[in-house]
Amino acid sequence: MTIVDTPPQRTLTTRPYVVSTVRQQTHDIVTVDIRPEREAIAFAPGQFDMIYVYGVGEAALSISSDPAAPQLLSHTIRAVGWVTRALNHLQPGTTIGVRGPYGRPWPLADAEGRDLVVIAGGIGLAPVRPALLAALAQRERFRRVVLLVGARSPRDLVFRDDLDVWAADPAIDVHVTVDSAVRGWVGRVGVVTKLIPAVPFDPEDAVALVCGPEVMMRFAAEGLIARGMPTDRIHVTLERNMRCGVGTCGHCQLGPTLLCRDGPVYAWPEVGELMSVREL
Amino acid sequence: MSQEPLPRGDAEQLRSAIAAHAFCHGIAADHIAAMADAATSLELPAGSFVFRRGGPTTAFYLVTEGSIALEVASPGRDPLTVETLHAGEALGWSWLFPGRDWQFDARCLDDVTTVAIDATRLRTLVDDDPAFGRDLVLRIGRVVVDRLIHARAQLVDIHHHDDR
Amino acid sequence: MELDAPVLLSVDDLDTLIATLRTDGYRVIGPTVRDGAIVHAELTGVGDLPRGWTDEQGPGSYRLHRRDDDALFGYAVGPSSPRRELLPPRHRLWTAVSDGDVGFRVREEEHVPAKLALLGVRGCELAAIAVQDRVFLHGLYEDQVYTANRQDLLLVAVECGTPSGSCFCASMGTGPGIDGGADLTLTELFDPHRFLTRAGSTRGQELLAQLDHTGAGAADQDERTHRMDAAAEQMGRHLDTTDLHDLLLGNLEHPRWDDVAERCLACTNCTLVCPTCFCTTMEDTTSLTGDEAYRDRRWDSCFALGFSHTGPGSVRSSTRARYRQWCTHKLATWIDQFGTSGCVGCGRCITWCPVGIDITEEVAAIRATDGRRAARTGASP
Repeated sequence: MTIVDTPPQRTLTTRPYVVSTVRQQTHDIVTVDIRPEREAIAFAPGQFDMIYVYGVGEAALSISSDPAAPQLLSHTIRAVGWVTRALNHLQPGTTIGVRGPYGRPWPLADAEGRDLVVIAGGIGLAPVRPALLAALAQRERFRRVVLLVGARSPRDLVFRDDLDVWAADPAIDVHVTVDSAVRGWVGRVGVVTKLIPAVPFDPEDAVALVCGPEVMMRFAAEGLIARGMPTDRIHVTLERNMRCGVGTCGHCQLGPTLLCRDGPVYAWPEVGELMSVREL
Repeated sequence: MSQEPLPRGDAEQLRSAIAAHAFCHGIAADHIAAMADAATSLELPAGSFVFRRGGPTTAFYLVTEGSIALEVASPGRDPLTVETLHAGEALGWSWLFPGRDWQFDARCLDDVTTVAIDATRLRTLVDDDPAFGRDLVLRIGRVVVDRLIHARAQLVDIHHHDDR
Repeated sequence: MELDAPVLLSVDDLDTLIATLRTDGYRVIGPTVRDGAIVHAELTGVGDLPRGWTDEQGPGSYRLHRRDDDALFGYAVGPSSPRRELLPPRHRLWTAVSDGDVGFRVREEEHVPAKLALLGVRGCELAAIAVQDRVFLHGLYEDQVYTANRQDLLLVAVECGTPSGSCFCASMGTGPGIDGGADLTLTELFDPHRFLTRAGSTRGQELLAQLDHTGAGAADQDERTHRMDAAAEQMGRHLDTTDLHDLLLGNLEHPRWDDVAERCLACTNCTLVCPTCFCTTMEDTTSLTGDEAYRDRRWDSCFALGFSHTGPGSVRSSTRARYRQWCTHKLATWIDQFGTSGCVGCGRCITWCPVGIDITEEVAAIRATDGRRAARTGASP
C-alpha cells in the first residue's frame, strides 16, 4: 500500500476507510482499527483525524495507533455524543470517513538524549500511545522512558494489553494507579499526580508529555514544576469542539490560539494560564 | 492492634531506619534518637492489617518496605481502597489527638516492614520539646495537605469526563 | 494604488458600467432598498440603487429616510456585507452516496470560479474582505468555496460620505476614505452629480477605458478631500485602540462582563451582521431513503450555547463568557490568531443588537476601570 507523506489540505472532503476490528477497551470505550480504501497517509504522534460516520456526522479523534504503520489506523473512542456512540457500535467491514491528520504533534525529538516522562489519565493514554510506540521503536535515542497511568478504577484502564507488556519490559518504567479499587486490584490506589515525586527521572533533563482531563493536566504540570522540571519541557494536549480541523471554523479557540492549527499539543507556558481562566 | 508485634530490632537499626525515612529528612539526631527509643520495628505479612477502623491510635507508622491499602468496608460489598501507601510514606495522624480511633482499615498488600512509634511517648516528646513538636506537627501537616489535595482530585473524578 | 489620474463618471456612465459588467457575464451585487433597509441584491442598473435614501443608525436602531438630493450612495452600511457572497450562509461540501450496504463513496461539490462584481463596497468592507482573506486564503488551508468566489472578484468601491451614528471606521483606520484595495474606487460628488473615479488595478483601468469619462480637475479632488474630512468628523462612535489587546486580555475577569451579560440576549445578531465573523459549523443530513448523506457548512455563532460543546458540556455556558469571547476575539485575540484586528468599525453589531449593546461603550467602560491598573496600585505599598 502506498503511504503518502503530505495530507491533502485543500479539501474538506472525507476519505473512505473500512473498519477492520472494533476492540472493547472499557464499558464505554472502544478502539476502532481501520484501513484506507486508497493510499495511507503518514501521521505524527499526537495528531488527530476528523472521523465521519455515514449520515451521522464527524468527531475529532486522536490517533492511538503506531505511526510506523499508518495503513492500519486506530482511534480510541468514548461514547459521549451522536457520532462517538455510533462509532462504538460499528461492525467490521463498515465504511467510515477520515480527514486528517491535523494538528501539531508531540515534540518527541525534544526528548532525545533526555528522560521521557509520559503521564496519562483515563482515555488520555490513547493520544500519547503513538509517542510511546515511536519512542520504544527508537529506544536508544532516549534515556529513561517513564509512563505514569491513572484511571478512575481498574475497569477504566485502557490498553491493558500494552500495560502488561510494558510492565515486563525493562525499556520502559510503567507505574499504574487508580482513584479507587475493590479487592482483586493489587496495584496502587491514588491520583496519578501522586506518582510524580516518587518515580525516578531527572526533572532537570526530561521532557514530559501529559494527556488527560484539564484538571488532571493542571495537577500534573504543577507536580512536575514542583519537582524542578522547566515549564517549557512540559507538554499537554487540549480538547475543544472542532468542526473543520484546518483553522477556519472558529470553534476550537482558546484565547489567542486555535487548537486545530496551533495545538492540540502545547508547551505549558503557552496555555497554563489560559487553562486557569474559567469558561475561556 | 490486631497483630502481634514482632521482636524488637536493636536500637541502632531503628535509628538508622527512622533517619533514612523520607518523612524524617532533616530531623536532628537527638530527636531521631528519642523517636527510636519509642519505636518498634514491625514486619507484617501480606493480607494482615496494620490497624483496623475503630481501633485505638496507639502508634505512628513509617513504612519502610511494601505497600499498604487504606480501605473502607461496607456490608454486602467488597472493601473499597481509597489510597495505597508505599515505602517512604507515613501512615496515620489520628494519634496526634488522644482518644481518637483509626478511621480506615490499613491492610498490607504485600510483606510490609514499618517502624511503629508509640503514640503516647511521641505526644510526650511533642509536649516536652516545643521546637521538635512544631517541626513534627508541620511535617504531619504537609502530609495531611498533600493527602487532602489528592483526595479532592479524586473527588472531582478527574478521569471521568474525557472524550478524546 | 492608483494607476492613472482620477477621472469623472456621470450617473449614466455608472449605468453603462453595470451594463458592461453584466454583458461580460458578471453577477453585479450592490445596494438596493428592500423591506425598509438597504440590502445587497443583484443589480440591473443604477435604477436599482437606493437613490435619494439615507440610513439613520444608532444602538439597536435603524431607519431609512429620504434625502434632499439624488445621492445613489448617501447612506452608511446596511445589514448585508460582502461576506454573504464570498462564503454563503449555507452551502454543500459533499455528498456521500451509499452502496446499499455498509459502504459509501464521496461525491465532491464542484467549486466553479464565480464571476462576481461587488458595487458600492465601503472602506470598512474592503478591510473586512482583507480580514477574511487571511482566514480563508492565507492560513493552513485555502478554502475552496471562498477561493472560488474570491479569485475573480471585481470590487467597485464607493467612499463613504455619510457615516452613521454607529460608525467608527476612523478609529479602526479602515475608512471613510479608501486608499487602494478595489479595482475601481468612486467618490460621489454633487452639483453636478458625478463620481470621482480611480482605478486600482489593470482590470479597473480596462473598465474605465470602455467608458466615456472626462478628466478630473484639482477642484474635484479638493471636493473629495473636503467630503472625506467631513465624513471622518461625522463618526457616531469612537473606539480608543491604544493598548487594546493587552487591555482586554488583562481584564478577563472585569465586572463589566457581568454587566453586559445582564443585557445581552445571546441572540447571535451581531455575529450574523458582522462582515468579518467567519465561524461555521457542519451539518449532516440524509435523503429520506438514506441513499445519500449530505454534508453542508453553515454560518455559526460563538453566542450559540452549542458552539463550544465538548464531551462534558459547553465550555462557555454563561452569556458572560460568550460575550467576552466575541468581544476579546474581535479586538484582541484575532490579532494573535491572524495578525489583524477582527473589527473594522462598521458599527453593524451596534445597530442590529436588539438591546443596543455598543462594543465601543463596553470597551470604554473597561478602560475606565482597568483592572490591571487597580491590581498594580493595590500591589504597591
